[in-house]
Amino acid sequence: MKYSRLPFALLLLVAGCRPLDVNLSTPEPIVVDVNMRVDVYDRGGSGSGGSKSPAPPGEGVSAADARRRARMGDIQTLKNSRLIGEGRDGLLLVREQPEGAYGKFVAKTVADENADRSVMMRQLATERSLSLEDIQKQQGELWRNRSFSGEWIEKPQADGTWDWAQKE
Amino acid sequence: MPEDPLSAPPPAVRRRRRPWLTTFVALIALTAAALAFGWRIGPSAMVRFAVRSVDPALRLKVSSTSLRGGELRLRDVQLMLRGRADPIFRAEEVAVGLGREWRSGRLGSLTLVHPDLPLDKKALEHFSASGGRGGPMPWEIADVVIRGGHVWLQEFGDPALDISVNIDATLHRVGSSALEQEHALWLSHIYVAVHGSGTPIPLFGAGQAEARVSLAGLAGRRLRGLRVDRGWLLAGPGLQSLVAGAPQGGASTASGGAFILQTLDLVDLQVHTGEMGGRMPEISLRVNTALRDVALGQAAEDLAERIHQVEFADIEILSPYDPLQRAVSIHTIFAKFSLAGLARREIDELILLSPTIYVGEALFEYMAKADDVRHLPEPVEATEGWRVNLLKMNFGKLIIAVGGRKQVGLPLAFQTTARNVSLSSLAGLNASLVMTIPPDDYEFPGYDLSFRNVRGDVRLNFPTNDEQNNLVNVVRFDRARWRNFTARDLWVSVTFDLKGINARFGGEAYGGYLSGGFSFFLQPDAPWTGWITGEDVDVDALTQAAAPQHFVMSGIADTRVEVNGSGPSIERVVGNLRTAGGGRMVVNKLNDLLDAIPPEWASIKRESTRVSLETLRDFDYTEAGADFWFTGDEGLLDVKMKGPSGSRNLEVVLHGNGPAGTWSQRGGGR
Repeated sequence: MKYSRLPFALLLLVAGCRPLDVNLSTPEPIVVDVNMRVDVYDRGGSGSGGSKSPAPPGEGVSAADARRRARMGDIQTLKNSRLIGEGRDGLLLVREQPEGAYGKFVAKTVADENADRSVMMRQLATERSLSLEDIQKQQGELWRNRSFSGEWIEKPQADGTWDWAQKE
Repeated sequence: MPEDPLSAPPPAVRRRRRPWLTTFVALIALTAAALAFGWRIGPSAMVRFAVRSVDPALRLKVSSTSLRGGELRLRDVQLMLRGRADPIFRAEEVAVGLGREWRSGRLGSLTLVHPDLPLDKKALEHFSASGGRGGPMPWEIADVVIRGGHVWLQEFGDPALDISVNIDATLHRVGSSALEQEHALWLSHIYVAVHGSGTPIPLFGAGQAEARVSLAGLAGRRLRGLRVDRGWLLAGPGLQSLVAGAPQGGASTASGGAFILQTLDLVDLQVHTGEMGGRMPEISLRVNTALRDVALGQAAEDLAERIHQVEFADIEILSPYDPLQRAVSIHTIFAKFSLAGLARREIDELILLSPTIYVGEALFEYMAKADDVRHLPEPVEATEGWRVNLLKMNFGKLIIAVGGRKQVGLPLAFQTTARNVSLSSLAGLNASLVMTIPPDDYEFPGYDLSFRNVRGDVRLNFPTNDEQNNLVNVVRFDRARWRNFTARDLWVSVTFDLKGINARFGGEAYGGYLSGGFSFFLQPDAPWTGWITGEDVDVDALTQAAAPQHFVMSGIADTRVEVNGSGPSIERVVGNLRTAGGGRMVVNKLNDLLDAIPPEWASIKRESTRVSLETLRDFDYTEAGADFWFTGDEGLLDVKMKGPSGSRNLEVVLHGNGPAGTWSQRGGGR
């Protein structure tokens, strides 16, 4: 009796040493909700977005352009959030300023952008021998034309007045 | 004196000699008397007498006369015509070398220093009426020298011309015994104007010319030859009035008979069209022509009717504001015209080979300035404008030339044929021109871009109404390919104005229909914006074309993408995609991970990994959408999908290396 169970034990031992396939497939799909956020950081190298180095300080047009390129992502985010819009004078305007630190960030970003746009427009006025006011009108029209649908723009009205509207 | 008886003649002979002696003495006496008379009145009086004997209406004035060494010199000579205050001939000096054979009517030389022959209508009529009253020239002159001569004919011929010409010449053997002797006259500073009712209208001029004449020819009213080098002719109202007023069936000189030019050679004659109106560039045509046996009065008409062809090469029309920006360049122009046509402001045929039209800032600046009514010198009547009877353009290229001086663009070939094209203004010209893009395939390897069977018409419309300032074209393509993306049955419609180039396009692609538009703004940094929408697009085919090895998605979707750029750079992109109905997403890239699962892993570990990856790889969705934006090196892709097996929400955030102060929690969506 003691030894009659030995072959069975050996059989179990041998069988236990062979890997078994475990099939986890299910007849019905597994319901899985996946929420994934991937942050991609580009550290150095050349990219289509222009300079990777911090925007240079300075008052020249090239420095202003570099700062504006570096700021494009923030401006787009604010436009997408419908917080800011393109004014008739070629400058941005804060349509809705959030509370707190983000609101201050919005205001500062728009102020910095407008300062750099002003540098660029003064340069254009000099180059084209036009008044700054004319250049601002031209740039305002250009920015309106280049705005995407849904973004806030200041539109001329039939009666000569201006009104804010989301671009169609 | 004692008489020699040996030599003395007999009385009868002495009687015969007496009459001869008497005659001889009489002749001596007469000669002495003549000499005494001539000595008393002087040589100048003799010449004056001779002039008056030739033409009683003429008076000669000479300030001083000298006769030394067989040469008669008259200084400050003036020839007056009765009833006319100003002299008809002036000369600083007239020198007549008598020579050895003057007694036999052959003078040695005649030198005219600065002779001036100003003949007005009255003087010309006088000599025309007299018909050269002097008759055959009584003398022969071995050498005639004219130094610094000038002829001014006022109201000469019919139609009346004013002619001014300087003459220098050295003529040999001038006289009745050498009537066929050919002489060369060197003409310079030639100026001819049409003497109309008002101010004389400049017609023709030349720095120099050579006339070949003979006395016999002149007597027979024939000029053997006239060659004009590098002259100019204004094909304007002067020529027009000359041609219109030319007598039909032969011309006449002032004397009423035909004066024949046996040869008339015009070498490098520059024909200027003058102001063409509408600020069209003035045309200057170079003409070489030869006329034979043409009447002087008829010459203008014969010359005018002859068809000329000239060739221009490498013509460029530049921006009026930036000479480095081309609006139009033309490799070769063949112009066929007649001067009469030019006078009527007509060009018979204009063939332009390899013209390139740069549709961009320069062209519109040029067109705007050309047709700006504030810059037009005079309003041009439709009937007064320049016309081209036949205009052809072959091997043309049309380039959308945005980007300032960079003038990037894709050239399209075109050709055109137009008749009765008005050149009075660019607006009129443009309205008449339909540039046909012949069916052809285009490959642009640099852009990895190709078009098949491109064809269409391009019509330049540039009316003065600002609201309609545009150029409308529709170009169609059977197929277009950019990288792996294809579309078919495409059309592009483009409008242009001073602010920019605007286009709409559409076509079939991936089972759906794409439509979009773009605007290039004519500014120094060439900003542009564009948008494209796709309806009922088969996403499977689209993703198969995009990156099949990474990601494939089936289903039908609508999508919209908006883009801003500047020059060749894309500045920002905003877009979205919404599926209509369900589909399946397969992230093929995860197959690489599935294949890379280590076989030595425990079964349960391996299987659980496989299941996880396949769960991520394959997803059957019932609804899906994505929003994305990118600007520079920053952006956001937000994908949301729902299906029987759950949901997939994927947010990919691209962080640029922006300045300090960039808000860290990016993701401001819509």
